[in-house]
Amino acid sequence: MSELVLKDLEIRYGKVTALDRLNLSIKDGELVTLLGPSGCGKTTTLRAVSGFLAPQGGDIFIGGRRITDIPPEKRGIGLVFQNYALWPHMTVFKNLAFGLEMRKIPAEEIKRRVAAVLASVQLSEYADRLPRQLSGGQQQRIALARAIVLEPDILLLDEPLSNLDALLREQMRFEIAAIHDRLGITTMYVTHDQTEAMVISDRIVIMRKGLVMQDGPPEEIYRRPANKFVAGFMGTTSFVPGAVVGVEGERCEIETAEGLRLVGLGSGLKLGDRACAAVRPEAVLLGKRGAEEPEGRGANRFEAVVQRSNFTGELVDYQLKVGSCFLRAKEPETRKVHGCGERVELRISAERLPIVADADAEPRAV
Amino acid sequence: MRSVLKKSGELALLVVVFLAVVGPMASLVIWSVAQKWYWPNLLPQEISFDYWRQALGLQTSMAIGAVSIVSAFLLSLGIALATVVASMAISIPAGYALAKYKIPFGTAIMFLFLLPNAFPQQPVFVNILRIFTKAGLAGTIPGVMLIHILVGLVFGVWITSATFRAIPPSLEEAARSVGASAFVAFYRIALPLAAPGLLSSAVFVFLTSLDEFTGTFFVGLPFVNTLPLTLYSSSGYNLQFASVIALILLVPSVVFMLLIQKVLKAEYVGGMG
Amino acid sequence: MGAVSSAALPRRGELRLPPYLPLLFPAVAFMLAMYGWPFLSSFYQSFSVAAREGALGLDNYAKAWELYRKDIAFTFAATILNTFLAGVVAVLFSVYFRLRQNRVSAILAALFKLPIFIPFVVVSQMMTSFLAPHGLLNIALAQLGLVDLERPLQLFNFAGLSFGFAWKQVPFAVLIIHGGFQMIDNSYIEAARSSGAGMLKVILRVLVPMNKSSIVAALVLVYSSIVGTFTLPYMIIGGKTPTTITVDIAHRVNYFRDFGVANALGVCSYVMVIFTAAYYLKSRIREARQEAAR
Repeated sequence: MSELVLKDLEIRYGKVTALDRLNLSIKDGELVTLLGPSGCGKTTTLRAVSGFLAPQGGDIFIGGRRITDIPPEKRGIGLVFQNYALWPHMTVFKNLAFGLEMRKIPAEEIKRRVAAVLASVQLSEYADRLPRQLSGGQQQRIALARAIVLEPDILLLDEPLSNLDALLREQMRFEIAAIHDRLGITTMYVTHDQTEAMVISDRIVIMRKGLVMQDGPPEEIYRRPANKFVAGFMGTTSFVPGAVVGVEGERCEIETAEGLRLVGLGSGLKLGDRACAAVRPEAVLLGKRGAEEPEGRGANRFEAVVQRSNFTGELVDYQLKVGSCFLRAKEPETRKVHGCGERVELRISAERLPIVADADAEPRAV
Repeated sequence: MRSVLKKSGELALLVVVFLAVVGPMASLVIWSVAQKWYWPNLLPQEISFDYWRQALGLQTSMAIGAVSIVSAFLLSLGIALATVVASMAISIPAGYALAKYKIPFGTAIMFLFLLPNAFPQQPVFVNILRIFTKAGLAGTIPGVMLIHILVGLVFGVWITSATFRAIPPSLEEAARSVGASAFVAFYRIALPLAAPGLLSSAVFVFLTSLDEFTGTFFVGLPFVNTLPLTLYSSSGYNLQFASVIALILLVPSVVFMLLIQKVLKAEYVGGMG
Repeated sequence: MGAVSSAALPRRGELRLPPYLPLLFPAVAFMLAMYGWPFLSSFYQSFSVAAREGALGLDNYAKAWELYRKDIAFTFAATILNTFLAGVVAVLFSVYFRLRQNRVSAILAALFKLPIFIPFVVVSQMMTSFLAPHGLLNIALAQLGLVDLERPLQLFNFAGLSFGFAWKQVPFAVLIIHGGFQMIDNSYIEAARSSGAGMLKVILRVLVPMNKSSIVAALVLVYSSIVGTFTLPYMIIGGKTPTTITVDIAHRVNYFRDFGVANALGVCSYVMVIFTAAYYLKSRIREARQEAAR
């Protein structure tokens, strides 16, 4: 069992609090992503777990063993760095063999294990190359291979794909997910890229200023954001502010200053609270005015004017004006394309419209 | 027409600069082989390598003053090698610490290592002489070595810390994460990667020691006669010898500095001598 | 986040020596003992009164002023003048190297590298033989009919000293200033020219102002180096008057064992570099901080 547990972890840089009593646990074999903007504490958390940063308070456990005071080299953690950190003066083979040598593993076995892991990242023929003779993607895979060849209890990845170009990044996401599925190593993955997080994670932890904003499976984070910050961080979101005028179980209705009413899903809101509807472009459907209602009961319908429509290939990107609010919409290019200045009807299903508290103040940690 | 003027102007500049730069060096070379040189002749009447042979201990001729510089050369070489070992042994850990750790009072420590470049060093040597005289170190080889280590250390610490700073910390962290202790990570990762910079630093310290004059002049005289001091003392009465020694000091400096200059900051280069 | 050091791992609740202490200790201890102490004691000694043990006073300064005020003025004048000359010549050459890239300038640039790497003691010997009344320079000038060998140029004075300093320091200043000019992209020059500036305007209004920091840095280094140089004036001028402070200090120490006056002169040389030293320390510490923040 190699469950990773962080208990009341506290880290300060001088007067700045980087982590404020962080509690987090990653189940055996789970892949959890720490997601947030720079300065949110995600890298700090990773460095504390890897042992390069001593917390001022709290504890870290791996498989029930307290490792807070154990030096990095004795934690049994595999680490993949943002800049790969392959040793430039060693060949690929020596990079992979280094950790095995440290464990005094016999040369024969080192050769066998390095060869096996190189094969698993499809770079067998590169054993004698130096890192600088490899492409970025290959270096990335070697860095991953160096971490997993030791069969660590925990694998930590620090923005491993951020130095790759877009195409390769997309491909590597699936590769990392596949390797994780195959090996089942408990993994903590740090990124600021929400799509990356959605693709590879079992669970996403959204952080901001040293606090956890939300912790849940990707779909839940996307569909049911706990607060305005999370809603804004996942995708391009337009916020429509208003006051709560109706609460009925999960359903919640707000009214804007102009009298526009929106029904969506929200929790923890009371009548009269200031709240926002988080409108995602992909949740907006456009149609001719007065057309048949396809989404059934509960869809929000408004009249809008197309301010701008941009053809981007697979999608048409609209800027719409509803009253004094600007909203974005994205529709597949296979649907009817609306021109600039056209009056359209806009529909948003209540199921796809999160309502969150409109708190500019620091949201509380959950 | 204009371009011709420009061209000839440039060539004239080249000639003047060439003569100004090379003239003094030529003077050294000519003197080192001048057996007979009566003015007003531009070049010596008789050329021989007697002074070179004499200086290098290959021949002893009473006619031209029986001085051998071999012992001074060996002394300088020995002091320089010992200085390199001691300076590097002190400056590698210090440079590493300055590069990798956030140190309280870091500014004060930097200050201490910058002061010798900011202020004239001669008054310091004078006071070291005063202190060394009381301690019985004046006029001794260990005393001279301490001076040379001081001069070398100032540059050594800056060059080594710049070298270590250029190595991303993640490389050592990666080694720690796969099971290497802090020392093994340093020894197997940081040290080999820093080797070119450290080697340059060592060469630089070696040359500063070999060429050091002022400190040795105060602390070493009259008992410790390094090569530069021998050069100085023969300068008065035997120009040929002085020229030979000057050339012996010049060649390694120019050759090695040309090799390592890429690694060095411009101001260190100028800090010599 | 990367600002915090990697390997610092103090265990909480335990008193442990930070790992950098043993690493730094030998260097810092050595510097304090071998530099800090003598440096500070040069101030203390300059105020000590030889006649009365432990007493402090300005006697040494009075004596230094009485005996050496001419030399102090000479040193200051020589330093200012030589720094200025080296600066002007170096800027001219650097501009030339920046704007003209052909074989002649390449040869000149290569030639200019040599003096930088030649130690002062060798330079001094070179100058002693080259500038001597019957040295190569006078002989060559006589051959050209420019000098009467019965009355050769006497160069073991201010003029010879200046030539020696220029020989060593101009190439050094060029190294720094030219380095600065090379950082200026061609597009700046082209932009100025396309807005109608002639070459002279480009140099005065674009190149030199943009490179101010490295010109100042070169001047500061040349200035403080000249104040502190002992070898060259000692071997060229020696005990003749007027000479430089550094030579006087050596005389005070070697002939009279008079550390009081020697240190008073030493403090004078500190005062002479006080502004350049402040500039140097400030800029180097700022630079180091920026590096650390990266």
